[in-house]
Amino acid sequence: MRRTAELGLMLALALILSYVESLIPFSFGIPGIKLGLPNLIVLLLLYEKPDSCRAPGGCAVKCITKEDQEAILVNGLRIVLSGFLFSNLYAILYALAGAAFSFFAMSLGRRTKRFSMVGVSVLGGVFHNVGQLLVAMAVVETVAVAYYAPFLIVAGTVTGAVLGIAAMTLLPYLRRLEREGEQGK
Amino acid sequence: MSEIIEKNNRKEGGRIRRADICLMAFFLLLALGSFAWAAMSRKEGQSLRISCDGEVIEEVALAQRERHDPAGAARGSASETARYCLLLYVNGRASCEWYGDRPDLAAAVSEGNSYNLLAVSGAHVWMEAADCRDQICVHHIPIAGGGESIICLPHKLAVEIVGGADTETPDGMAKVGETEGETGSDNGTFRNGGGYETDG
Repeated sequence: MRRTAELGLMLALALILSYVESLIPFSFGIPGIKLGLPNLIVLLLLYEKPDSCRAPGGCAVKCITKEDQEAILVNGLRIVLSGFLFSNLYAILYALAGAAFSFFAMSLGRRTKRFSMVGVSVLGGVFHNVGQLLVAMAVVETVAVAYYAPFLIVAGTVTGAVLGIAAMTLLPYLRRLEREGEQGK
Repeated sequence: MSEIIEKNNRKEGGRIRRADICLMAFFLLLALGSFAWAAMSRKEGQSLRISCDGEVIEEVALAQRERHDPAGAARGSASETARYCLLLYVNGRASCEWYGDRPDLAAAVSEGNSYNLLAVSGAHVWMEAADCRDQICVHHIPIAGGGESIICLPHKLAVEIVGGADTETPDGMAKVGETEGETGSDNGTFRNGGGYETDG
């Protein structure tokens, strides 16, 4: 029950971040670039518990950990809810595609254990943009959108790094809250 | 036990590692490399291709473009008179019509039809107006280089500048696949030190 409440809190936080992001009036003339604030929540969910996938040799790539499930659940709900609240069905499909690519890359990146949260976040940012670009190619049926790729890679790297540093800074506080909560139980 | 966890925490999330820096450097170099490649493979003698849902509906030659001057690319620069192309979507089919002056949209667009109004001035092309939901195409910077494009996703419209006259196909109808390499961009205006932007 406690975990359900925590995940609900995370979902609410992710929704607020979605909303804040939709309020920021950035327009650089290149579509598809955004800060990706809700990814902060996904990162925190992935790293919230000390590595649960650490059994030697076991579950390197195959197993879907509990963190993965929770992050997918929260992010999926966040996209659907924020889509209906702040945008439209098309935006939901794009966001889901981006999120799927992004999550896949982050989850794999985390399992390699070579990267810190910043590296994983950069992977997520870049692959989010790559995923959306591929969907855009399929919808418009042209490869011309590939022209955006360099811009989107740079943007994904920069925003991913910024969010990764933010998540890294937040993580110790989140874990402390968790511990205190568990002791108080 | 808690010490082990603490240590592990620090190990996993703790600080930026060498691999992170390498990853970021890799992505930035990749982007830089594709910029350079696109800039080198740019061709002169270009045409404007407008397609809807993958189907080419209009292709016209563009004026020879001079070196792109970002200041001159400002929307609505009055130095050259613009031509306008009004794209109308009637029953899912797109049609286009050219105007010498900005057409009166209220008169030209009948009830229930959606539209995109494209403007062409010299070598620069931009979306003057549209009734799509997100208005991303309208906010897009004017395009001028080979391979650049403006996409209006809600209307499935793609406006591309393709290397025309001096490509292998003399009629200027280069196949879509051939334009793949020309992911050209223009110098200077990028545009995006931080890389944040709106859109879904």
